[in-house]
Amino acid sequence: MAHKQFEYLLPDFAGGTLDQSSSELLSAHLEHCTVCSQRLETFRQVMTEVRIARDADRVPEGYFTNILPRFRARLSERGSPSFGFRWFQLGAPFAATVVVAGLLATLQLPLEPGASKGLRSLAEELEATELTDALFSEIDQQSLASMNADDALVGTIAREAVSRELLERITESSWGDVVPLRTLDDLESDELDILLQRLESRKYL
Amino acid sequence: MTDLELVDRFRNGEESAFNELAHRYQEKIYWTARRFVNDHQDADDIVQQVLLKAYEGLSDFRSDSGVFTWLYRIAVNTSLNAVRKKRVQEFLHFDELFESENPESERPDELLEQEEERSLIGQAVKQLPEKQKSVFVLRHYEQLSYEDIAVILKTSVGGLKANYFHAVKKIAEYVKRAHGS
Repeated sequence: MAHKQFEYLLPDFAGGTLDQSSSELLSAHLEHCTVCSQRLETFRQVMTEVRIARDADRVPEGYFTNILPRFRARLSERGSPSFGFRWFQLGAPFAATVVVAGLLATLQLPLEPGASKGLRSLAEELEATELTDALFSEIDQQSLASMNADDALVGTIAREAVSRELLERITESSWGDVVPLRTLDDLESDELDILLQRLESRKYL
Repeated sequence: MTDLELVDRFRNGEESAFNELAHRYQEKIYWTARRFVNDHQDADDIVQQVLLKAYEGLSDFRSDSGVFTWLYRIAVNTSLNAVRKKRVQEFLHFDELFESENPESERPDELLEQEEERSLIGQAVKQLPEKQKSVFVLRHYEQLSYEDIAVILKTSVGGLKANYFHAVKKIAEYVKRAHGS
């Protein structure tokens, strides 16, 4: 067995979950491999810390007995007509869309000569991930001479966009067709990956 | 009664069969989610989402995979999605907005959550890449076999052992750095 294969047995050995035959093989290897022996000691220490942290985790009293009743209540609520009007209460996930929409609406970035679409019209057509991409594309086109870094620009604009006034403007549907955007909760896993990749590629995260 | 018998009963309109299934797995779902998000409230949201997905998907459930691995897969995917969403939200500074507008809405378990945030191990697990984090949670905390994890994550057993090794190694390095040694 190659050295790397022995290494891969170390976590289970340290955690006491390695089967007997593999344990015997590894024990024989440990007798002459100082690298693995030291690593095993490190792993044992960290596993102990992980166990201590795990044992310290608590849940509120009665939590588990309330999971199902709450789920059933939600299920009933989902079927009621009022559910559709509760989107405003969704909080942060909804705000994701608000911010993207807000950024697009408040930014008065001059478009390149010949550009056919403004940000507002983009917002009417694109989905959340596309909106984000469009936003960053616009920012990329701007002169950032007065900024130390473009992530500072985005951060500043984001904070301004997430003002109560803007939130109210959007929730009052004053934007007409711009409002029905997708929230972060609506994004599929692949779309979230793409969004994160786009953000990360610009070193914003 | 087996899980599959409960699934059959649910498909035949017996709602209480779903309750029994949920009751069997809710704690496992919760703790799996909590290891990913390191926060009680977020884990609770995930549990509710997982139950809803299970409820809606149970009629299409194929019995060639166990209910147990199917539920774990939903829990892992939902948790990973929650982590991704949180990263986007953190980037966009939502916390500031909602904390400043709703100071009275502090959760009753606020102190517990603050304690969790300080958890070194929680932070160490949080910084792992998704695959390594998934393997670490399922292997170390949930004590699942590599064979079950392979089914849940739709991957090979060989790769899982390497992922587990690198996860533990990174956690050890993180803890060591934090301790300043």
